[in-house]
Amino acid sequence: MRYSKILISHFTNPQNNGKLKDYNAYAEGYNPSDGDSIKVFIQIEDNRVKEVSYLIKGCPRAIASASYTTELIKGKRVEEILSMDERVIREGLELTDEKFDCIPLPLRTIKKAIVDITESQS
Amino acid sequence: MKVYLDHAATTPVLKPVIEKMLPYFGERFGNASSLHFLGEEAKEALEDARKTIAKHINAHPDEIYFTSGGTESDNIAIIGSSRVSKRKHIITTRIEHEAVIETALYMQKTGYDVSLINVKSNGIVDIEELKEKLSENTLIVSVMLANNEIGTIQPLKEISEMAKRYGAIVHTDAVQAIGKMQIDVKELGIDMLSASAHKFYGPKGIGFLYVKRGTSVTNIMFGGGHERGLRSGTENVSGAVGMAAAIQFCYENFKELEEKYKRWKEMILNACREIKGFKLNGDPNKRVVNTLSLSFEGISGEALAELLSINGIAVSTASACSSHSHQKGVSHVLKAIGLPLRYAEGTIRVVTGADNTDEQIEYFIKHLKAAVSTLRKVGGDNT
Repeated sequence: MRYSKILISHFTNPQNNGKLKDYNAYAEGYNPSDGDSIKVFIQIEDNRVKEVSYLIKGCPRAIASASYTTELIKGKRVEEILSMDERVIREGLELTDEKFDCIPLPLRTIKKAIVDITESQS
Repeated sequence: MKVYLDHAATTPVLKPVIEKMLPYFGERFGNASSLHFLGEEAKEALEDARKTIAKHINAHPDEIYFTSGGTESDNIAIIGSSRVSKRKHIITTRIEHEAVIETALYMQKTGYDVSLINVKSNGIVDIEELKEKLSENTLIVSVMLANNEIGTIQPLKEISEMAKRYGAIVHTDAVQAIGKMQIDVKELGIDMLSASAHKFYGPKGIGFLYVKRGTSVTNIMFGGGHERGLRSGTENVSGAVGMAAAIQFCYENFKELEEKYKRWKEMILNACREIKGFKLNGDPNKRVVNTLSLSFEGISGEALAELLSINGIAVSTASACSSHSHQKGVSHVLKAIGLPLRYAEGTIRVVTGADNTDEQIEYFIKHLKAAVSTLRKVGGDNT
């Protein structure tokens, strides 16, 4: 499949990959429609994402999306991330075909981690 | 470096093959049905090609019918035999190419009873199950000679002997077998065989159907009555000439090619055995020697194939998550052999060919190891 340069770049050189030593938000995501799985680790400070990382088993699109999404959310306020549209990721990676469920998986999992930690704190 | 390791998808047309074909696009452009000298010249080339092909599978030239390729040959074999028989039962297997399975399922919609025989975990058809399904109502048994994904060779001789007791026609899709194993249609005891030139260094758009003398089969297309009425349409003379040159190349160089494929197979498998969570799919011995289905537990085969492709290596994946249903994305062959999903997802098909070199295989191995390691690291498995 022909991918955009940006998608290939994130796939071959994934940013923020690994497990954070210190994190206070965590979630696991799985996409039953295509089998990709992800674990995200987030350090939230002063209501902002200070650090984020992930471990992922998935196709080129899922790996690229994890890299791109984590770059995109770093430093952002949690409210901003929770209101982020999946289309931002699809457009950023220049793969807007909605049949690829793998693209929004990292963002959905990050949102889940943020919601979980916010709920447990309140 | 560019390395093509997808020879089960298609093969390059070899230079000597192209050279033999070229005159039939130019000065020898005649229609083989024309009565003038250009027609005679084309007819002669067509019949020479037929003789060459027949010789290499131990058939009579009049048992070779030119078609557009494997799919058309399979369709003629199954649909064409149904039109001249009262029998209403078709037997085939779960690991056939879509050209056979879809044709059988089409026949099912028109009222035929279709039995899809299971294969064992080694990718060899369950002979006992096939035997149980055979009856006086069985029209045709269609079992591929070599599988396109895992390379397993099916016991056609045994199947033919069983089917003959019930008077059923035996057809084999030999698209992946021609050129990679010695084929003797008499020894196999089969009635029909499909082949496609582009899988053995010939051009695309030409294939043949072997039909044993006396086999009941009729045309499914209507027209000028070419190919003794079985396949109408102006003959593809350049294609037939190319296909004959290609089959000749494969069998004249058979031993040399086989040795190379064996060497590369061992090089690849030895390297893979050092990788944790590796599995070779299909029987380790009953297989065409150039086709390897390799599974690596816990990674995505699609990601692996993409990383290799970025490094100039072409392999195919047996599973892609481009469909909405995950199970649907895993190939029907890997499902049929019961491969666990964690392996099926991480499967690539590597098929070597006459144009490969030792250096290319070494380059592939180096990048395969690196890619598996990278993907496992991304997934959190550093072993």
